[in-house]
Amino acid sequence: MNRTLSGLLLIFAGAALVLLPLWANSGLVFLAGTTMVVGVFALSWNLLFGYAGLASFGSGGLFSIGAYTMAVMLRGGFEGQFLLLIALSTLAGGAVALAIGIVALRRSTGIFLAILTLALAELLRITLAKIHWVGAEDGIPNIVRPNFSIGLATVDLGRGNHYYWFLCIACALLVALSWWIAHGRFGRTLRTIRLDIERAAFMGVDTHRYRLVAFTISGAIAACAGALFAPWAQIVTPDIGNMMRSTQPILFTLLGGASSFWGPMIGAFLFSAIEFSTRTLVGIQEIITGSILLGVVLLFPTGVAGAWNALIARLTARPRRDEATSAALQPVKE
Amino acid sequence: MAMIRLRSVDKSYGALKVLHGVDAEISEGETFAIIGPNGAGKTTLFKVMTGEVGCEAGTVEFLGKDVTRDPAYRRTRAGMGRTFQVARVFKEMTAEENVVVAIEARLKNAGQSDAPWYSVKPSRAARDEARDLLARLSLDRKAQMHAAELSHGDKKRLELGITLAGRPKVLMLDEPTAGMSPSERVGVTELIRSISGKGSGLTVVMTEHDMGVIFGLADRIMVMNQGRKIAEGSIDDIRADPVVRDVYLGKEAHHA
Ligand SMILES: Nc1ncnc2c1ncn2[C@@H]1O[C@H](COP(=O)(O)OP(=O)(O)OP(=O)(O)O)[C@@H](O)[C@H]1O
Ligand SMILES: [Mg+2]
Repeated sequence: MNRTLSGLLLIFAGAALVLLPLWANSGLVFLAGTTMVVGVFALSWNLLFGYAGLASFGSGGLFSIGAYTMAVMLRGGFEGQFLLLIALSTLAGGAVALAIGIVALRRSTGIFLAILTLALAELLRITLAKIHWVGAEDGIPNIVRPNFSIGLATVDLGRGNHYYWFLCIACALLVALSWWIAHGRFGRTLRTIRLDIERAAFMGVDTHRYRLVAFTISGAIAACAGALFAPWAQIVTPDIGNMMRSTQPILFTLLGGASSFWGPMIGAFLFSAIEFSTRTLVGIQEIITGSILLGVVLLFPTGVAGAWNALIARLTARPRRDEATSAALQPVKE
Repeated sequence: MAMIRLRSVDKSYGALKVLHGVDAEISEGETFAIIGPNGAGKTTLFKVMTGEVGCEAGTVEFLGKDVTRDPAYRRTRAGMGRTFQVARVFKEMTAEENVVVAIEARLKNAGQSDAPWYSVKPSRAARDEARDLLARLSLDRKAQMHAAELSHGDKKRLELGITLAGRPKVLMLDEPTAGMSPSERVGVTELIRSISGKGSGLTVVMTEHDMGVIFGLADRIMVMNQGRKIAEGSIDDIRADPVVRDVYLGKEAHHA
């Protein structure tokens, strides 16, 4: 019951997004595209937090790495190989995350990891702002939306809403990939690590290695989101990976619910909806957004996704419980 | 052959020295019990054997190999399986999932994963094995319950299930009946006996405060007090040992 309803909702939401440009103005379409990308970004963050039990406060840095890699390569005239550029940007993010993970994860988890990642992301932002080759503080403007060829067919992503639809497909694929990672044996093992890392080790799980792989995958997907974002925004600046960016997935996850796979994505869209509907209320917009976030966190500790599942469970009144309605939903062991 | 051999193990927590040169040898197939008053260092000795904590001096050998520096997961892969004094299960998962993840970990480590790479579900074989195991532990009717909702005794049995799912060569149980009712105790004692009976080849190392459980299961007993081994031998040896009577059994006798 729950599954079917949620599935229908998902299809409906997907269709609404794909059809959006047919009636909405370009501002709204831009917002929707951005939300999809940051939603994927938030999912990648929660793969770490909700599954592996690691909190990174510097995910914006990896988003930035993906965006800059893409921007630099597009500027360098490689726009004929868009798919390859996406792959390279993703790899760049994965490689950086792997390097950080090798150094950091062995000793620091918890608050130390949070501070360390935050510091590294800030370091990257400040460094980018000093390098003239990437435009220093002005960043790289006028990023082209390239042609995209697959087989014999070539699509000009610069025309009309082509890039938006391309984003729809790319994000759908990334969501599917994340879903598969989170729900398979790998994701199950990660969950055991979050729930009780010692118990997991005593099943013979190399917990350090699993966390490292999760850190790398999460970083790669974050960078991929950044790479998709660069031609969408058509400009990258050092602020693309600032602290606000790193906070985004955390806020979305709080709002949507860390214990549900879809929580961060739901949170991203809710957040955009709130910001969009309060956009004219200059000055008090932040207050409203903040109050709503506070309200959700206090009223629904399991986020909107958790509350939704609990509601459906109550309506359908079947004793079997879903993972997201369980009482013990603290995303990280105290 | 010795399953586990400890040679003069020292362990301190900060300034507090908890183990003082402990030696022990546990043979294949036997049920070896470690007893002693609260704070004697039984759990700490367990932790040193399994690799949960290191030790400052001495060595731990497992199946003839020095594993003193090996992390817990390596020792587990080599065949150690343990439970905790306070049962640790994956609370957000169902009882069945708890056992399935343990089976999957074993299959993965042995390179025997039989689920296709793209499949998100555990393999049929893993799920069947989990159900069989839960049935043996009389948890089959609670298979779909979240571990958090299980009673204390059920949690302890589920944890035993997680451990057995790893098909260990040596089963290490830290107070398997702690906090259980007398009837549950009898049940778990029976269960351990059926798992480790002659012919199973399974070695068991256990700590326990309940002498009924110990006398019902142990082949050999080691008595600890204040971080030192004070006696070792058969049940009869231990019963007859004056020092043991004094520091440990004597106390119990006075209570009774
Ligand atoms: N993590 C720790 N840090 C500091 N001291 C500890 C720690 N764990 C145990 N101790 C101390 O080490 C000593 C031995 O504890 P241990 O848990 O090994 O005893 P035990 O024989 O298992 O006792 P019990 O029968 O109560 O389970 C005790 O004095 C205890 O207070
Ligand atoms: Mg103990």
